[in-house]
Amino acid sequence: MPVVTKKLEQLDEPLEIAGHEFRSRLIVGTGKYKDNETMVKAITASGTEIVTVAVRRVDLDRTKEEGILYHLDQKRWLLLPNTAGCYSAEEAIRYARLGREAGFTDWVKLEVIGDQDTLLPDVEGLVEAARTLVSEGFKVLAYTNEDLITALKLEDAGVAAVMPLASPIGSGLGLLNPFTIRLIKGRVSVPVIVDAGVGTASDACVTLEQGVDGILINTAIAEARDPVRMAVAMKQATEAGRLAYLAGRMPRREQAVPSSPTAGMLD
Amino acid sequence: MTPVVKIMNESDQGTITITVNGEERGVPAGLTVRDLLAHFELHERLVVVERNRQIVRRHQYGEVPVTAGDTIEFVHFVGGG
Repeated sequence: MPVVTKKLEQLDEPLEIAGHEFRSRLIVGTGKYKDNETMVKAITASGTEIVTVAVRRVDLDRTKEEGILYHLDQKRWLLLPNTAGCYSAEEAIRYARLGREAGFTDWVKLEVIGDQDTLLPDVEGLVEAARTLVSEGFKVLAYTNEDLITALKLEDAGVAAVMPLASPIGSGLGLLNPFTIRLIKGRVSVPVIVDAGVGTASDACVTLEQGVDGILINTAIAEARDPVRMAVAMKQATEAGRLAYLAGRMPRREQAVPSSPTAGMLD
Repeated sequence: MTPVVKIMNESDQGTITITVNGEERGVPAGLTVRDLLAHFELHERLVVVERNRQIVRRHQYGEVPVTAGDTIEFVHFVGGG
């Protein structure tokens, strides 16, 4: 029984981003929940320490309860404003500055989208916006393609983390290209946090098994039939994948090897 | 919403037209950004104000005037990924 009592803290190091340490390697989004109560329950159950939010116009005709800041305790979670929906560097920079003002934080999840159908990043705009925001003191976590060269350019621009996608935003297709994710992780020195495309717990687990530093999940939790249960599943899958990576998996073999001794069999 | 309509109907000469979140609105002349927030019943801490594409810092709300033709954006955080 004492064997299983080792806490996660003793089995893994904290995730460090821009000099801040986090125990959880799971970042969750706050979009698409059916109501704020479910959202808060799910993010609590996920064990996350960082939650993303978007910047949008206030609805002047019904303003009272709509802002999400009202529901999120900033002492409990680091708010990570995103620039979702921005299609140019200029627009993303504008949203990042508004997010900084709204959240009293210089962290930003930078998205510069290049195409409406796939929501894939515009890497030119992304690198340009990253350079500007870094020069303005932002801690930039950059949502990007699973492309090594772009990741290297972003690192050179001074981002705090690169966030290559598992598959397109909201697709739930899971980790489509583990090879390029490992390639990026092997080459950049800033944290690699896979963002977008996770569909279910096994996707999160497989992603962390690649050795990346963390994962960001929104839709897979928010659109689950039971978001709170799925949040727990994602927490456990993230931890399981991370520990499996650290533990080091056995080699793959194309033939069976018995687990029980071959010696000592009866005549 | 209600106070705005009332002011517009009064056709008060002390009313100016500004663009707020993409819509033209009549508001009383002589307001500061702080007054404008109160006018729309917005909580200062939960909202960020952009005036003519420039963010208005919170400590300036009481000083920055709202003038005719201004483009004001009130933004806040919503759920997002």
